[in-house]
Amino acid sequence: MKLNVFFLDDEIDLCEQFQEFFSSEQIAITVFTDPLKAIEESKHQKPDLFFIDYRLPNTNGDLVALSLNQTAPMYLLTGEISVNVYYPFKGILVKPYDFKQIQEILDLEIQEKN
Amino acid sequence: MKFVRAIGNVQKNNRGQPIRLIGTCQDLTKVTQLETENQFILDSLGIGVWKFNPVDQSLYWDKSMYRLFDIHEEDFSGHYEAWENSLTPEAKTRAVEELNQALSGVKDFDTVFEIYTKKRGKRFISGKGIISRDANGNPSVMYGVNMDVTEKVNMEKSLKEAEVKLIHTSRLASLGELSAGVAHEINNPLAIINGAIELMKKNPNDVVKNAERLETISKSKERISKILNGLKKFSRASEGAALKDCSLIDLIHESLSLTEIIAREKSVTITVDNQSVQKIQCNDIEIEQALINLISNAIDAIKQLNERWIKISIHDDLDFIVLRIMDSGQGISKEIEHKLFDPFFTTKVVGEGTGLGLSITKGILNDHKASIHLVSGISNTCFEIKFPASKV
Repeated sequence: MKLNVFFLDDEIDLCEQFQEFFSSEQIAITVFTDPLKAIEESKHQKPDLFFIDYRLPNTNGDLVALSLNQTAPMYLLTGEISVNVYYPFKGILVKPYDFKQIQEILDLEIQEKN
Repeated sequence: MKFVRAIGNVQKNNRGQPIRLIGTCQDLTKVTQLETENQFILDSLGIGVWKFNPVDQSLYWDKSMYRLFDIHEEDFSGHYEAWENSLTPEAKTRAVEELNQALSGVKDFDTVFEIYTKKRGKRFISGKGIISRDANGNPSVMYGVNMDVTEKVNMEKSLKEAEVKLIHTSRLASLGELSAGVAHEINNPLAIINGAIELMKKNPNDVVKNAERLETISKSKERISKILNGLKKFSRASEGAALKDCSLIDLIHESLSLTEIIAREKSVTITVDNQSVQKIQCNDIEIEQALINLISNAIDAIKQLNERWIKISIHDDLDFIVLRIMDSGQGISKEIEHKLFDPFFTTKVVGEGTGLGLSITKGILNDHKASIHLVSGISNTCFEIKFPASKV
């Protein structure tokens, strides 16, 4: 079964790069630049893994995570120097993030799913 | 004791011998007393009185002048050079030029010059004079007063230094407020550059796509450079920076490079309409600071509203450039309107604003002979600033 990954960032370039680099036979990636659309879509198709940017238009990744009501592991992406969050993210990745590290996270989730 | 003025004529007989003296006596006690009192008042005020004859270059000083210039009466030459020689080398050229301009009728003699005194070192003296002219308009005599204004000048210098420090501190405070967004704004394009490189490494033979990725890298690098240049310029000290002719629209765009970060975060749309072709003479760092203050305030004021926009427009109005910064807010109440530019007045919650932004903005604009006011009679909040256009 494919790993269903959601990626939310208001930078369209980052969304496209993420999708292009990590999409594979084992990984299906859906990207969002609009937090509301990500929240809405996650009600219909449950993601296995969620990457959320911290600084988003009119909101932040922490608030989005809190409103998602998801059991899927979530990782926060941030370009900030430091962030205070309430949601128990599985990890916080600082931009510019390491692609190898993300690949390792994805591989681990694939293993757990299968 | 009385003071008396006696004037008389000698009458002589036909052999030329004096036979009587006829004359008058005038009691000058009151006049002398008044003169003494006047001198006492001038002395107590530290005001010296002088008279200068530009034809023969003779110079008269009253007693206070000797004290002001720290010269003994017997050492005073009574010549113009006595004044010129007391001036410090730094002050001489300008002071002499101002005197000559006054004598030639170009402007009044109203200046401050620096002198060197034996006992008290360098002192600042204010000088004012009026000129009497002959029928041909040539200066015949000049009367004036001098006063020691050293303490006032030093106080003004200290005040100016404190003002400059306050402006710089306020600028650094603004930078602090902007810094969280700035880190994000640098790390995001860095992440894009990183992603593009990873994709190029993964697909080294995809020539068409890689050309696009190089373009993406270049654009991201430009984003970072723009932010860093804005920060570098904004954080440097503005003190002593020479005034230069600047395009107001360029300064607006530079200010937006820093404030748009917050605007995007709060979903505030900023539009700019430029109808001006003139330039302003300014200290660009300070004007940028004033613009950042106004734009940041506007963003802060509307960030909770449903409608969030800022419209910036500039147009020429004869010898002025008019800048308007209008936001989607519903105006400012009459109760607080008159306090807006007061130091430490803020409508922000404790810890979010110093209350110095608008007062510093007004101070900066005053220094540039520009005016700022809140536009009334419109449904939104709008500040209008009028800059005198550069004469170049």
